[in-house]
Amino acid sequence: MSLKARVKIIRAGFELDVLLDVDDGETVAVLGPNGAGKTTLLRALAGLASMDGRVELDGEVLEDSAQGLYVPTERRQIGLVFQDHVLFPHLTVLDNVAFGLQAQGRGDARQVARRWLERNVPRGARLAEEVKTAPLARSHFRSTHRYSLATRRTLDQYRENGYGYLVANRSVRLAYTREAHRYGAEVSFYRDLDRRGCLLFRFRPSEHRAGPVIEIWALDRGTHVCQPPNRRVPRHRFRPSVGSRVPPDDVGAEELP
Amino acid sequence: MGSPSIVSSITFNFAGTQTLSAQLLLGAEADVFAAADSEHMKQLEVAGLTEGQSRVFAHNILEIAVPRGNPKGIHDLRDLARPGLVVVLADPSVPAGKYAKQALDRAGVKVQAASLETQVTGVLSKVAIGEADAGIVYRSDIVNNRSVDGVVIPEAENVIADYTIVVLKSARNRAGAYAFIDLVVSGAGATVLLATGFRAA
Amino acid sequence: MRRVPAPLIALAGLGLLFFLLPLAGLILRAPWDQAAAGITAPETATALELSLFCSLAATAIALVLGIPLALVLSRMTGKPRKVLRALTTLPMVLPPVVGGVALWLAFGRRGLVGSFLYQAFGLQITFTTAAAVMAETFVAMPFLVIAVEGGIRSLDPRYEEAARALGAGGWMVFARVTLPLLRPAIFSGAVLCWARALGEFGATITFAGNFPGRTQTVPVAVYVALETRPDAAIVLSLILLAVSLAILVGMRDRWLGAL
Repeated sequence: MSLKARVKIIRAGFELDVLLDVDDGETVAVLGPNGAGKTTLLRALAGLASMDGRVELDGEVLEDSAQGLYVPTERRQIGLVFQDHVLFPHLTVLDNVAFGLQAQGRGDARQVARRWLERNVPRGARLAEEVKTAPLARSHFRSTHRYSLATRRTLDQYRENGYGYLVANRSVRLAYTREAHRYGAEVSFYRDLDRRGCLLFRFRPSEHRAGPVIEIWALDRGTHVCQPPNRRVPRHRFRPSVGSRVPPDDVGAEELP
Repeated sequence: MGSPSIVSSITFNFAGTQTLSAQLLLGAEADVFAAADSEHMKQLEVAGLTEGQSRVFAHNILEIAVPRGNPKGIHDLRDLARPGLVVVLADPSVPAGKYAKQALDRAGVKVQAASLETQVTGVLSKVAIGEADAGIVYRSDIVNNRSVDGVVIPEAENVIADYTIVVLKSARNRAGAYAFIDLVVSGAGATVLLATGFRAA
Repeated sequence: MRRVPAPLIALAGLGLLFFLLPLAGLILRAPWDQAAAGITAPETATALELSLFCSLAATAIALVLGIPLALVLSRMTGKPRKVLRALTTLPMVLPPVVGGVALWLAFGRRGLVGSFLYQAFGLQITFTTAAAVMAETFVAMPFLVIAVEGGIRSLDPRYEEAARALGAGGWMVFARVTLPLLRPAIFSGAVLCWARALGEFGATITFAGNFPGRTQTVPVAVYVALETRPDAAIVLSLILLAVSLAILVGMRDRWLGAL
């Protein structure tokens, strides 16, 4: 599944102009300082921001402003994990996980969700019955686990319904690499002391266990800039991306387990 | 009309008889009080609020009000019992309503009222705007209103309302009060009353 | 009372006094010896039943029509929104009697819509219980609309976005995400609406008239009784006060908690 997009948004004091070309099996991490446009980019891909441009998922055009084409968010096969997880506070843990499946009309949504919860409890979280039945707002579900729950909510969605892309808007540091590994994607990140990034994952469970090609971009003030290769991260191959400005070189890198 | 010079201006406070008497009983002050029946007048006399003897200064009789042109063809009290007819009466707590009930009971007519208005004017307006097919009001109400027609109720079935007037103990301008009452019961006063649909005492 | 400046406390006290004195007057000057007779009188029960029925019906209608209206209102922008907002809040500032007049101009036998209903089906709305319900709905619904609209605008839009990103279509988003999250706003709006409907008088008596058991709600009954039997009127007022208070206090904890 490929994702090709041209996103252009012009607002007062802000301009975003990105060309995205992610091939089958690739993973792209987008880094950048606050206000660079990462969140806006992801929202635009999911259909939540008005923009000029075009989004094409695996050959199917999801949006094309030149032709006035727009597929609503709920019909795009793009899952979105929000920066603050945005779990439904009035639903239980179970209902949260089952929500996406129910939206797709699955009659056994709750059973499926229950099975996954039992198998894949986020590390350290006790899912007592009480937590499963009480609305999230009143439960003691820890905030770190809420993020993983949100990821799970969307991951399961992906898994069962063949979603094309998972778009996770999260601090690169805290992303669950174990989860990613389980699904066959390997991700390493550039850890940046004061920069946060977002990730575009593409999962294909059976293949690519050896490690996908990951392209890392830096997004700065609305345009992506070139990221120089770094010796300390051998598992990645880089291709120069479109753009001409050389980024500042105070970017550190670290391999995460 | 020969108005005495002791009275330079008259302030009128118009309302339903029961409203005014309730206000007076609660302590409101005035020089003269006129009522549409003798019952409320008696209440005030019993409460010791009146001075001297109350006098009947006019009579009024009931009449059926119908919309212009009498579209439903009402001709007498018995027609009011017609099924499907929308009839509005005054609430029995109001003099006009009490009289209407008396007249209907005496004629043996059972009316399904759609509404029991708290003021006779309410009955009139409901007929005038076309919401009611008929209502029982005073003749004086009909004479003074051009948007309704009247259907006469024969004397034998009708109820005669006694309009009474009295000086109140709380009067500040006694001379003026008596002068006004004299005017009302005089020939000149009667002329005015007759012209507006009332009957002389 | 920490951190509240003394002058403000004084003003608050005055405000409280302003509310409490009339209530105290009602309670202290009530003819309690006649209260028992008043409570058990059949007219009292009739008026009370009718008032409860009409006010609850009005609130139900307000919920069904008002929540969608609030939703539409919250999604609009610019001029059309300002106009629609002004229209929906108009009944709040209109004198109730004027509201009653407007209602019969629209739904009376010679009214805009009413004339058609009367000529085609022989249906007359005035003087019916339905008219009383309509009058109450007209004056009370704006309270619900405003409360719910405020609730919607303070809702984090990302909940709905998350739902859509998970594949939920318009109706599912509304029913399973928006509506449940709006519960506090809907509840407080409904309570305000119901209270306003219960106390409605001017529009009711103008449009629906007065007839015991059919259109004589408690406020109308009080008005009618006031001039001839003031004691009965006071007793009736006290009963309405007690019933309203009981319901307001009773419902509060159960429904108004945090999500």
